[in-house]
Amino acid sequence: MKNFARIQSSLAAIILALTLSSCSHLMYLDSAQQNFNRAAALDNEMRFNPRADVPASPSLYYSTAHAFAEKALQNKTALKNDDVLANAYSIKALSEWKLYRYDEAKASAKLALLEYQTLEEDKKLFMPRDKALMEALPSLTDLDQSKRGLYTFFAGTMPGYEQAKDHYLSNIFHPDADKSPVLETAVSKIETIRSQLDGNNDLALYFVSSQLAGLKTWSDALDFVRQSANKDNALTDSAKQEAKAFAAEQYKLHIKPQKEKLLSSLGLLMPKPEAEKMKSFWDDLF
Amino acid sequence: MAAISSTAAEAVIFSINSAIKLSQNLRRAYAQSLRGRALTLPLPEFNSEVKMSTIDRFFDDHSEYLAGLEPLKGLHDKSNSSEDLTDEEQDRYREFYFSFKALERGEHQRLEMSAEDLSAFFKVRQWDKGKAPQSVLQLVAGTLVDIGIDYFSQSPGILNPESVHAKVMYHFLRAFDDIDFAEQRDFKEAFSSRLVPKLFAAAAESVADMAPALAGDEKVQLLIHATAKGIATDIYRRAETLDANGQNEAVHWGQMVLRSMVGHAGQYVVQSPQSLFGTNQGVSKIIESTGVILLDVILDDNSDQIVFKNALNTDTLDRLTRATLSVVAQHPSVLHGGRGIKEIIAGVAGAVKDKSILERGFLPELTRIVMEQSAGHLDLLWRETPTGAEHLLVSAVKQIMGALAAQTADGKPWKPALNNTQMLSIVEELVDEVVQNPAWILDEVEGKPVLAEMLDATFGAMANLPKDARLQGDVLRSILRLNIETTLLHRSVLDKIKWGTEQEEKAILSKALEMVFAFVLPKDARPEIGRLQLLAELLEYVTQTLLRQHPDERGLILLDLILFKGGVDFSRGFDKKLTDDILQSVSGALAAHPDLLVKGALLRTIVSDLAQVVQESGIHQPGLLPELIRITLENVAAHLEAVADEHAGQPKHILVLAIGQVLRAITQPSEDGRWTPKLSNEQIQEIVRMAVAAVLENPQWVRGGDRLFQLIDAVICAMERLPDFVAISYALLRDLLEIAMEAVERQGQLLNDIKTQTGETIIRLRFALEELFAMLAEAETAEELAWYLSQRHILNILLEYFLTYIVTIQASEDNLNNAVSQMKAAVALWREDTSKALEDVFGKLGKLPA
Repeated sequence: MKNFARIQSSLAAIILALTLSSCSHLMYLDSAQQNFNRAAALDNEMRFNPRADVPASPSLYYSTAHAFAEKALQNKTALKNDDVLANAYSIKALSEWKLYRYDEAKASAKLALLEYQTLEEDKKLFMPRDKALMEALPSLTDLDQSKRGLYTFFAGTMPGYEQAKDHYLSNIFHPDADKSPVLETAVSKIETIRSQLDGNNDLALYFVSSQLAGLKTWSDALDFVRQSANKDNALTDSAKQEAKAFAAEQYKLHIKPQKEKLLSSLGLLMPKPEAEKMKSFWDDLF
Repeated sequence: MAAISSTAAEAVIFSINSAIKLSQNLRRAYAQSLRGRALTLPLPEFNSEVKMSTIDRFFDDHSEYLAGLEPLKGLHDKSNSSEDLTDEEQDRYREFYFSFKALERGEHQRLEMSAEDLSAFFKVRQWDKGKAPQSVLQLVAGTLVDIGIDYFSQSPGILNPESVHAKVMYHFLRAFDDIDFAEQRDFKEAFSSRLVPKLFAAAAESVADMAPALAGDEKVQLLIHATAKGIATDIYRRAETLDANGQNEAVHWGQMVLRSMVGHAGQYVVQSPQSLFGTNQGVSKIIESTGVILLDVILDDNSDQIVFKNALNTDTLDRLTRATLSVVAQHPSVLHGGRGIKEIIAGVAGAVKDKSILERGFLPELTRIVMEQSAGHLDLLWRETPTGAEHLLVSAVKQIMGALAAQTADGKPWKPALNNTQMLSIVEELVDEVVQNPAWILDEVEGKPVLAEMLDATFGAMANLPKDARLQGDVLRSILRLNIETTLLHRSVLDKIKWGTEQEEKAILSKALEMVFAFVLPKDARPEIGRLQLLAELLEYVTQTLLRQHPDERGLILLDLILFKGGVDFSRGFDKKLTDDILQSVSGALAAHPDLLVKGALLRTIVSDLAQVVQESGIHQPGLLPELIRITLENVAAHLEAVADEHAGQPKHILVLAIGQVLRAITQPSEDGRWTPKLSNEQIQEIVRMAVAAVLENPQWVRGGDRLFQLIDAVICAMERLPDFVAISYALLRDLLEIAMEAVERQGQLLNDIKTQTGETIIRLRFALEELFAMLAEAETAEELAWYLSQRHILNILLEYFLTYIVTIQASEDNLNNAVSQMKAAVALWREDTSKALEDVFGKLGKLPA
């Protein structure tokens, strides 16, 4: 095609023209989205297949995405006029989440939600995916933080059984209804948001998978509890058996039912061959 | 939906325009695409390592697995103790775990998820299936804007919302809003970003080149809409089951076909009859189907046929598109049913399988030719065969390419030196012939279509050309053109005969060509300048004249005579008049005496010998040879076996010998330089006729000797004795010859030798004539001599009596002297009294006083 060469040769000129024009904020948002997508793809690949030869660090792309989102947001008026201010906040929030800037992520998500609400009310413009995502983002960050907190707590010398159990009950799960450890709450909130989705199986699948990721951290926490009991020389054998029974019971009563339910949901949200793979992965994992 | 679609389409068009003017609309379209972009979402962090407690729990619940596996049981026990497993033990423990988990699921190994799986799992759209406010167009609006800017930035005004080009592009974009998005929604959404921009680029490029008048025509706009919709729908349908390469290929060809359709279809749409384009629905379906059919032809994988796309390029596709549309415009029904464009194209592809033809990229052009020629005649070009419907032009192409390809096979000494244009022109002309006259295919000769037979005859003859005789394309075209005309008029030129000693039967047409080729381009001979001109003229003559008059074996006989036996000198080019004359002479004789054909070899020998004797005589008078041939053949029919052994050489017919002796005699140089006959063609012919008639009665005159020559020579020598002042007329010569022949016929002894007073041995006839003429020369006045010579009856009587007397006497010197004296006395006696009857005077010869 004769004009394709012309497209390439004039690309630089077009970009320059757009940068200087009133379209630059859109270009930044465009770039932010593209970089975020690239980062997330790498991130997921590493998560599900740690041995995979991933060519670049996801955080590099997340950083770039965040930078472009910030650039776009330098012209909030223009973004607002084009009804994409919420989208810019969203991509900024998502990038901040994955860059461990959890507070900023939650703040950006809050701003995004405000904008989505305005769009719905003023322009009847609905963006269900982004709105649900922003609603779920605090919980998603909580899941991250819970995992990080767990592994930080059990890093180095193994704490005693009591300490481990206390961490579990404080941060992961507590049987009392009036207690709301972060991870338990996060999984629950995501469940609520998911239940409110009006269709959108893709997003539901994502939320189910996020919940399973949270349950995995929960399961890891019980593993640490059991390890701490095994290594706690202060415990008698019977106490160790009790500790082991506690962990087993917690799993059986709280994790396993949720896990089975979520795996069942996966089967409904995905085509069968893909669902089998995904279910196997999670089923094997914890 | 329509309102939304309309807005979407306009948004893109206006956005392109706005980008040029830095307006708001570009941003809107761009923003719209950003809002709808699918995002890949990362999962919250989790540790993907399977913990030991998870494995312990599994084997706690499945203790039966531990029973038979001590190593596993050991690992399980250790993991449940306060002792840590080593890393290696953990790995082995996990392996047991994964194996038994897989076993539990009925699998052989653990299921792994690929990067592609993960990318697909967590790519989340803004809107759920069926709920997106976007059309296909909207999904790719941003990309379209990018491309549009590039295309139209050089001509900013071209996309003014009110401009015709803008309206055309509007209709193009609307096509994507008409595509049913409910089916294959997921795939379409993902694939649109690859397909739509490509098609947009193709349409934009074509529209930019379109004349405003054309672009402004509503039917053209409708065409673009329908074509884009048809192609896009078809590609969506195909691409879902294709791999990445296949999808790219489908997009590429979709782009090509769309550009070609938009770029070349306008004129057909505008010019099409109202009956065809009377309703928009009809137009849409027709145009939509046309583009799809072309795409199907290109992309469909028919393993038993040629892969069409391998032979196509932009140029050939354009031509094929034009041809297809021309057929569609006139025959909308070809889009459906079992006798349509698809079948025609598939037929051509199936017919042309020769590698050498395909490598030259002929397939699209052959298809185009068939399509173009089909337009206007389609209903007449299909026929039923036992194996199904057959398109006559497809059959024609098959025959033609088969004939051409056969010449390119290894081992053949000759093949047409044709460039692509020439070869296609030949095909086009032949296909046109079939359109004009389907009998070329419908009629058969020995089980093959007439066209095939004609081509076989033509190329079969050419196959025998010398290797270096590379006839150019225009020559070949000319030959084919002549052969077509000849075959059309006389199918019998395709009848097969055995020629001469050849074993193989050949078509008359083929043999005729062979003979011309062999004559003009002989093997093992250096090519002569002007041979191609001669070849052209000869071929024209043979096909336009000879074979038209004689489309049978007679034609070959005549051609053989002309070329090889007729003694025609072609070294200075083709002498049409001479050839014509010979042809007429021979054919006239053959018509009068068909028996001559039975003795073809003898006939050729006679003509050949005649040509030789004329040549040896040195007479170069135009038209003589044909007349001599005619005279001979007129007389030879009843005397076919009248051959004579010539002294040295092959047996010759007596008439040939006679003519040879006549010619030799009349061209014999004068002994003393006084007189030799200067004869016209007609005069020679008259003498020849006399001689031929006489020889037929007296074949001994030429058998075994040259008595006829001596007879004529005697007359001429006698005439040399006349004084110079006497004007010797042809009439005198003719009369003397006639008298002499009659005399010799009566008195054969006149041809016997005698010895003269000078010691020379001559025939008696000559002696007598010379003496008589010497006597006449003694006339008192020139007037008197002239009077004698002009009085035929006097000469008759003089010669008759004298010759008779000469015959009767013994040929001694005395006797001869006495005879002369007697003759002189008789003449003197008659002079004294001319009132006496000559018979009375000359009847006393031998009795007169000396």
